[in-house]
Order: sequence, then C-alpha cells, then structure tokens
Amino acid sequence: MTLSLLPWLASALILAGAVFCFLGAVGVLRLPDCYTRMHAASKAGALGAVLILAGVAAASKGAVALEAVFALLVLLGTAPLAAHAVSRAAHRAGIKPVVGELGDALEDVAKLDGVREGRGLEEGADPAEDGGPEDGEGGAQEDGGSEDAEDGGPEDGEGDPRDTTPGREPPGKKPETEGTG
Amino acid sequence: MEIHIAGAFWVLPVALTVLVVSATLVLLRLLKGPTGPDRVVAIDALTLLGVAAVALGAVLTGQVVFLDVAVVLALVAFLGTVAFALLFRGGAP
Repeated sequence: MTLSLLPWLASALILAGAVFCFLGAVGVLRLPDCYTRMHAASKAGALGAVLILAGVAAASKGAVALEAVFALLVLLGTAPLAAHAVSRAAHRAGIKPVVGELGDALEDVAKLDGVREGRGLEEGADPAEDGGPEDGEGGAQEDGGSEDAEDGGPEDGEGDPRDTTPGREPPGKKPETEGTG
Repeated sequence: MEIHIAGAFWVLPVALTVLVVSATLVLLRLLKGPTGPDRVVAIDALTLLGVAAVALGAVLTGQVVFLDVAVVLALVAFLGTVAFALLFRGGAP
C-alpha cells in the first residue's frame, strides 16, 4: 500500500511546492510596498521550497530523507531571520510602509527606543504639563541658567551637554581653517 | 538514489516551467524595484527559487550531491540577505 502511495505523495508535494513558489513570485511582483513583498517572498516562497524538498525526500523513499530534511530545516530557520532583518533595516532606513487605519506599530516602538536612549519623545507626545523637572528638552534651553539650577534632576544632567554642545562652537578653529588659503 | 514519482514524465517538467515563470516574475521586480529593499527582497526570493530548482535537479538527475548544494545555497542566501540589511544602516539607496 505504502509502496504505491509514496510516489503519488512525492509528485503532489512537488506540484504544490511549485504552485506556492509561483504564488510567492506573483506576490513579490504585485504587492504595494517592500514589507508586503517581504511577506510574500519569505512565507510563500519558503513554503514552496520546503514542499519541494519534502517531495524530494518522499521521491527517494526515504533514502536521502536526512539530507532533504536538513536542507528543509535550514530553510525554515534562515528565511524568517533574513526577512526580519531586511524589513527592520528598511524601516530604520526611513522607508514608509503603506499602512491602513491602524497605523505603523513599529514607528511607536522606534519612538520608545528613542525615549530609552535619552533623546526624549517626538513632537507628538510631549508630556510637558507645567514645566516639570523631568522635561529635559524644555528646561535645557539657552535662555536661563537659573531654571536648570533649580531643577537639578538626573535627566537634565544627561540632556544638557547633548543639547548645548552643537550650539557652542569652540573659538579658535575658524582662523586655522581659513588662514591656510 | 532511486527515484519513484507518479507521473514523472509531466510532473517534473511542469514544476520546472512554473519555477522558471516565477523566476521571471521576480526578475521583473528586481529590475523594476523602486527602492533598495525591494531589490533585496527580489534577490531573496530568487535564491529561494534557486533552492527549489536545485532540489528538482536532484530528482531529475538522481544525484544526492544536489541536496548539499541546496543547503549551502540557503545558507549563503541568508548571509547575503543579512549583509544587505547591514548595508541599509545609513539610509536606503
């Protein structure tokens, strides 16, 4: 029974794998932005290759099942990692996804990463109520040094040199660069 | 290795033809893709199609060595894709 069933299973797996590869290719060609193309390439394409490898393992009646299953596991392990790496790098490089009404969830994550690194929130979510001491960007303006002395928070200690050092050019560099010409 | 496939005279050519057609579609995206990550996605899909084609080559020729080729091709594709991801750190081209 199994001797007659396994060749049929092999041909069915190979045909299904080819169909999934074709669907992934159509998705890569027709979907709107690079994240959805990533979705089509990494899920449907990897499933097609995995099905074809399983068909190879079934076609040999288990003689090369070890090699085929190893290649299958390598594909299943590396395809999601590569897709995640490229899509995250694309998002950090500033490529905007075509989003619906739910918005871009990874942009909120990037904003929270910025808060954790001490850069403060972006312009949309400023928690300034009445000039509290935890507001690092509001208190670190160059108009008054007395407010900074009154605040004395540990967040201001991190925020002060990063905000003031681009404004204060060290004197004496400009005659060196211009005098050589 | 011995190959036993039901309907081998039409299953393997049809599967190879479908793979070639899908590689052509992905190649259109690779040539057309407006940004860099689109092209990287297309290269990733092309290498996945290459793994599938090499596995079909193992069935067609009966050589077990093609499966090792498939493993190495999958690993090299992963390394190449991650290297492209590192390329995008300074902004997408």
